[in-house]
Amino acid sequence: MKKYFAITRNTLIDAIVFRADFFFRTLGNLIYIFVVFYLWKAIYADSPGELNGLTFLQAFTYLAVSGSIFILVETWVDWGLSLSITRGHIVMNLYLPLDLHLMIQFNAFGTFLFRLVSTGLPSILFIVLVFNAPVAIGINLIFFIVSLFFSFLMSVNIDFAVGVSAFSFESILGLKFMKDCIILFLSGAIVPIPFFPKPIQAILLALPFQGMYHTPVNILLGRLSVEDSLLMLCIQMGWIAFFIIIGRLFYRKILKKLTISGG
Amino acid sequence: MKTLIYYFKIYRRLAAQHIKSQMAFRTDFFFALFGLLFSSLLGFLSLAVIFQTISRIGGWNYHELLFLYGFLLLACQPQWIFFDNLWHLSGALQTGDFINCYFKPVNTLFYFISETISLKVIGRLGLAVFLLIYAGNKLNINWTLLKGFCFFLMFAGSALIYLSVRIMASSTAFWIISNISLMNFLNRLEDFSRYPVSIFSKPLQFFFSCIIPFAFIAYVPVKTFLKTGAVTLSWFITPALGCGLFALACLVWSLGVRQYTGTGT
Repeated sequence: MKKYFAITRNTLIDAIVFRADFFFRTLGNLIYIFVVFYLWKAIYADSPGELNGLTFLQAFTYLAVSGSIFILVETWVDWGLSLSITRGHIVMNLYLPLDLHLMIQFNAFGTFLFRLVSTGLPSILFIVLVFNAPVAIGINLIFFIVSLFFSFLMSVNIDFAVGVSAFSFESILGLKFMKDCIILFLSGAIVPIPFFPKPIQAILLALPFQGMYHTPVNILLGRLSVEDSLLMLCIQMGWIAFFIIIGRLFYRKILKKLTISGG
Repeated sequence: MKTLIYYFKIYRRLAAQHIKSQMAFRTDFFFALFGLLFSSLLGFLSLAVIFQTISRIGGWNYHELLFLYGFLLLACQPQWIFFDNLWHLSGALQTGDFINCYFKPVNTLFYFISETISLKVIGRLGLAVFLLIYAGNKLNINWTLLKGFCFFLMFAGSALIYLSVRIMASSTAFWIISNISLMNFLNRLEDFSRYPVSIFSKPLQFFFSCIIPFAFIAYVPVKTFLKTGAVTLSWFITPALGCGLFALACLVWSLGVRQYTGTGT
């Protein structure tokens, strides 16, 4: 395990070097938070109470926190992986006495940690302190952190599966784009799930993607009881296991087909 | 005129080459096409979902907002199709490939952007046209020749503004080399220009009109178009601003080109 953590440490140090990146990411997120605030204020302008069971501040917190989570869990693993497969750099990784799938996860974990500390938590604190967001304080905060971590695991494993399958599609940018859009929309990160028509809501809640944004945000808002939170965490774990299996199956298949010429 | 025809001929050759090379990766092309179309479709879908519950955002109804969104998508097209290579400027400066542009007897900006022509966005173009026709129908716009002409002028102005902002943003690479995060940041901002800027607070309105003038890509022209009856001088603000910004963008670009020293290999 120690060698894997060394990888995490490496990416952490790497991330710290690119400060301009960090600056624009944080600034972009800050502006996003403000825009979401005013946009939803305008949406709630004619109805001061609740819309679909969410008050204005709850809907705002829901989306603003989702936006911040997106920054945490966007890994670009799919991009990097498919590039290294098509260009052949992947051999370098296959030589190592390490498992590629695990290696990638620990690698992405470094980025996740850096962004959690540099952008994610400050953004959430900002949302809570400046806008007075209705965040419940209690055991749910621990559940929230766990669920955030699960959200990351889900994202990284979906990306791994997508990145590996890109090998047979000869395409990655389009695939990554489509995947990001589908996930953001179906997980409620753009429009909260309660705003969808009832039958569609049922479908969205049955899909895995709600686990990435809807679950952690609902836990943070305190809209779930302790039992429900635990249940949702278990569902998240189930989907993570599902994506790990899919990813590894694809990976094993690709390894058999993989031929890299020259070097 | 002669130079214009000369440039056009070169462009046709280079674009044809690029399209041929793209055809080698057909699946990639289709995935990108659908991915980009889908991402724009989302803007439309999220409006559709939100308007299940409410009927107005900041005094704009559903069809007005669809018209606004369609206009935004249309105004971005020229940059997306013809100036896609701006994304790769930072990379070309890092590898030193950009030095190529200095050896050609044509304008550097022209030569650099003529390396690629991006047809992946035609799905978005289709969506833009569909939205404008659909929403325009629902809004009962009575088109006259003068209005049509003004609409075209506004579109040209908006397209120039968007293009100029993009050129200036990517030109920063001449000084700071890696500017991908800045470009991504702009992408994120662009998503917000599909809402009426009037709903934002004063500082944000200032930001979107004076610092990064995205309010003029869609909101200002569409508002004048939909909400003022007769054609007045205010209809020409967008085209005028577009021309001014484009001149500024060309200046920034040429300053950058003069400043770049290559990689030394």
